[in-house]
Amino acid sequence: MLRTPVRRPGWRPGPQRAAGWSGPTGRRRPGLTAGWFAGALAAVVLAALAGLAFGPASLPPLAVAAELLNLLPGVDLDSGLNDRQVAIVTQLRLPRVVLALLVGGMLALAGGCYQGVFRNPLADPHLLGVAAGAGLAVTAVIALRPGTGVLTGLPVTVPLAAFVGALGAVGLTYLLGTGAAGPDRSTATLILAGVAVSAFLAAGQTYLLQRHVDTIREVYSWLLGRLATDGWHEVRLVLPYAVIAAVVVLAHRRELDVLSVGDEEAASLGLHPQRSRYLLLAAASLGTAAAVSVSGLIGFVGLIVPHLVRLVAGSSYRVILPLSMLLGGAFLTVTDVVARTVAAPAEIPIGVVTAFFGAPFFVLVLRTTRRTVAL
Amino acid sequence: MSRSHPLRAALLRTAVVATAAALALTGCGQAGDGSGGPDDAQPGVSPETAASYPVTVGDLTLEVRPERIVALSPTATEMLFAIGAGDQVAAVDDNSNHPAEAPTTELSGFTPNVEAIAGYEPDLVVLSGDTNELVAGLTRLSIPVYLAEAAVTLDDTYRQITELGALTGHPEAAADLVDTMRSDIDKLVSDVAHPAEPLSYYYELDPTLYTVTSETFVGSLFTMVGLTNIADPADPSGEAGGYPQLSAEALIDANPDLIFLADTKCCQQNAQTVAQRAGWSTITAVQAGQVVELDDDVASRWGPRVVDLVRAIVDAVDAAAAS
Amino acid sequence: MTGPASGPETGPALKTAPASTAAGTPVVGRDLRVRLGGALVLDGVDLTVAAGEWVAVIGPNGAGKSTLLRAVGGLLPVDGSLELFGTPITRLGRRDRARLVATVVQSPVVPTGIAVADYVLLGRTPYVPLLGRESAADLAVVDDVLARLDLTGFAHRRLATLSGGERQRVLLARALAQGAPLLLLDEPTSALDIGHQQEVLELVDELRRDRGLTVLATMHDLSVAGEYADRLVLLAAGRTVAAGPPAEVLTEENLARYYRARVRVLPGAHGPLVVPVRDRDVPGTDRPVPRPEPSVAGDPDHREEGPLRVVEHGEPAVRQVGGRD
Repeated sequence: MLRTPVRRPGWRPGPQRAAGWSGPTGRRRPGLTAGWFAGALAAVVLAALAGLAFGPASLPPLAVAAELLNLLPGVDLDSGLNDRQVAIVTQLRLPRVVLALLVGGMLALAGGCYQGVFRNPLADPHLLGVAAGAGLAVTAVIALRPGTGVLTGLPVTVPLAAFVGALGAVGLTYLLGTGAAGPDRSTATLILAGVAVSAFLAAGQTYLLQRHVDTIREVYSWLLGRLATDGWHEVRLVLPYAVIAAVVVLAHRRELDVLSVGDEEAASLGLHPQRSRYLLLAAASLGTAAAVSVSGLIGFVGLIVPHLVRLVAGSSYRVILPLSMLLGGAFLTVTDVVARTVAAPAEIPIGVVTAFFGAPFFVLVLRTTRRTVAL
Repeated sequence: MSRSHPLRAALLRTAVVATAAALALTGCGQAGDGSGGPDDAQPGVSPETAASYPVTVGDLTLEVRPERIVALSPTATEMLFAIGAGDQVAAVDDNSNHPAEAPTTELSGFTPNVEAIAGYEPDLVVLSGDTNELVAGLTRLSIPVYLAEAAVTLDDTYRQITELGALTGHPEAAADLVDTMRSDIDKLVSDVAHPAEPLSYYYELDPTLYTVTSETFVGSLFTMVGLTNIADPADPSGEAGGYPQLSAEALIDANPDLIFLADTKCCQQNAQTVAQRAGWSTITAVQAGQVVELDDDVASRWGPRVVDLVRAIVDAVDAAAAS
Repeated sequence: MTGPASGPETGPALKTAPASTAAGTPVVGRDLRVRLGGALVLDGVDLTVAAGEWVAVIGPNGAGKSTLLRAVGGLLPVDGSLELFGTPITRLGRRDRARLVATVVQSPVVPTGIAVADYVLLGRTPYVPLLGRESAADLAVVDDVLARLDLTGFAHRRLATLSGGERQRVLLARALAQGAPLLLLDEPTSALDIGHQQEVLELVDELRRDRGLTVLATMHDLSVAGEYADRLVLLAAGRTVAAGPPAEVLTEENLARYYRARVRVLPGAHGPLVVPVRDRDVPGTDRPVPRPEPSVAGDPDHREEGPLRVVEHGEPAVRQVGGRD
């Protein structure tokens, strides 16, 4: 992923120029520089450390470090923590930090990807009906109770329902929104189809909730977003989809740059814009659906983190996508620490925290940076 | 649910949660079979007690004894049947599953419909909350309404039973019931074991770790028995509504001695499922087998079966103190 | 089969004539039909462009000029037979097609924040492996193109901050970076003032001669089209109504018929000059203006009769431009 500049002195015109020359402009390919990458990695590491060291249970950081080292085979340090505290570190905090990195990274990556595919800075990962589809499915499962009535006999759990619901909604949006004449018009049609599908499914969700008002608390608790871990279960659920989605999206980051000149020009440059677009959307939606299935609807991360990166690090997707992934994970990890510590022993829904702290921070960056935001 | 503004939607949802949580809990009753309930009020109910009509309770005046009562609150249903007014009840809401002979209908206590209620030609409607201008609507139809809101203390419960007794013409039965409840509870509380250090408890409303503080009705019962609530620091004054959602880490760190599950029916939780949660096996309550499975309905209502709830709590404390 | 398709190592070789290494006539189109949204926009157009030629497509609004260009560029599905450099377009893969044909569209999308050099680098897309990245040879091509178009100083500037003329050069640079022997230009000068117009067209002509490019352009300015193009194709209502050297196509009769315009056509050094004139009676004044006799229109023999017969206040409006050089 690191790019190294290729540079040789003594430029002379003519056929003597050999391959491997970057010319008088000295420009490298647009891409992620080592500096930014290292910075983002550092942010991830710091956020993870914060997530492990801080929490409602005050544990001495060194003891936490010792317990983490104990996880390595062959290491057996005495950290001085009792069983409960060890369980807190290894079975609660560690999986939770990993989950936050995965979910935050996935949401930010998907957000950046959507913004590139739709060439619209207001696109976020919930755009094509993911939120509404997952919400309706989860409401149905919670309200209709598998085993009683409608869903008798089905081994349905909330994460599974959310995943299927999210993907189903995206599929519906795709069916309704494609086939429009003209290459660029299909983007707008897709977005509009997403809006329509979201509205329809959200109405269904509201109706179900009204009929089963006693389940409101449970449903809203899920809707507001929560990084609750039951050991490594959630991480195992998300990981395969997140990896697939990340690999596909990152592999196509150069294509996203080409797509930024519009479908027609991208086609004249030899790309297949429709195919690229749908592949990218499918991958991003898969990752988002997986993230949503374990953590509910966490807004803001997918919309704002790519913008933040765009403001400070440049507008090539080769920079935006990897940085968004890393910084989104770090951001969510830090906000999770806040969510579970500030009102301890109670927990604030993480979607509220991300918006509460992220929005002012974004405004601050907006005002202090020289680059203009393009809308 | 607007999706286009995550922040606004999220805050809106938070506001609705707070409101809805309170609302849901007041009349929370999961669909399920009404399992054999505890004892009803003491017998000796004389249906034609010389209750003097017209009777006035607060703003409400009834000229004659009501014969077609519609109850839209499971607690009110239990109270009515316990004081011997069961014959006078024409319809109850869909969540009223106790006692079994209650005439359950499809009326909803949460989203009530004035016309549907009026269709039963009630001469008294008992509600636990006024949503959608229901009281105003019924009043306009000249239907008497008695608002039996969620109790905050046991005194509210006793008052509601007494008032319902007066309204339905069973004042003596109601008084007997109240006396019995009082004495039962007092006895339970005085006889319970008092360990040197108060035991702590965690009360679970659902598997996402929603709980109650001591400022709530349920919480106050536990306080009466001498237990301390691990969720109290989250909302000491009760200003946030009294129903916080805990983080697993805080819960495990607090290490409650007792765990009470009020989500056994709605969410299929029991001692085994709790023990399997990551990290929970290190909690004292789990290790000592002090996870109490309550009946969701009993735990969420403030009617005559409150005594059973207190009894369950006391039994758990005794068992814990003995071990 | 075709030179530029062989890979990025042809960097320095771009300076020679790639057309000579690309076999076949650049464009051979027969009975081209394009249907857009149900309407038949192109209705049986024949078009042939020989290697090294500059062919300009002209016609009134809605004639289908841009559509024709997009069809030739492979951006629209087209019925009929269309061959690029001897290969039917339907058998050309997208990347191969992109290495043969470069299109500069009329209203290109300028991605925000992109630098000039990165934008030009996008032109190398057909050569970059699908999941790979640009090679050093690609960077060399970009530098070469920037130098050729005198844009080296702008390499780090954001494209959105450039003026119209500079931006047009950058668009051209990206097309050149594609290393394609056939260049399609859709209204390359519509947003430019006459100075920049000339600058860009001279540049295109120079490049054409330097690198042996073939140019197919749609142009709305008829005089300019006549001066730079080797051949003109006049489209009207989706059909070719005239084709040939500018002098044959740019006649007053043709223009009156298809453009419904009143013009005077004068001989120029590089091609006929078309001058729109206003020769109707102007209501409310007493300026009698004689109409030109129909027999004069399109008759080359009458050109020598002298200046235009438009008279205003007794003075000739236009002096005859010498056409003998």
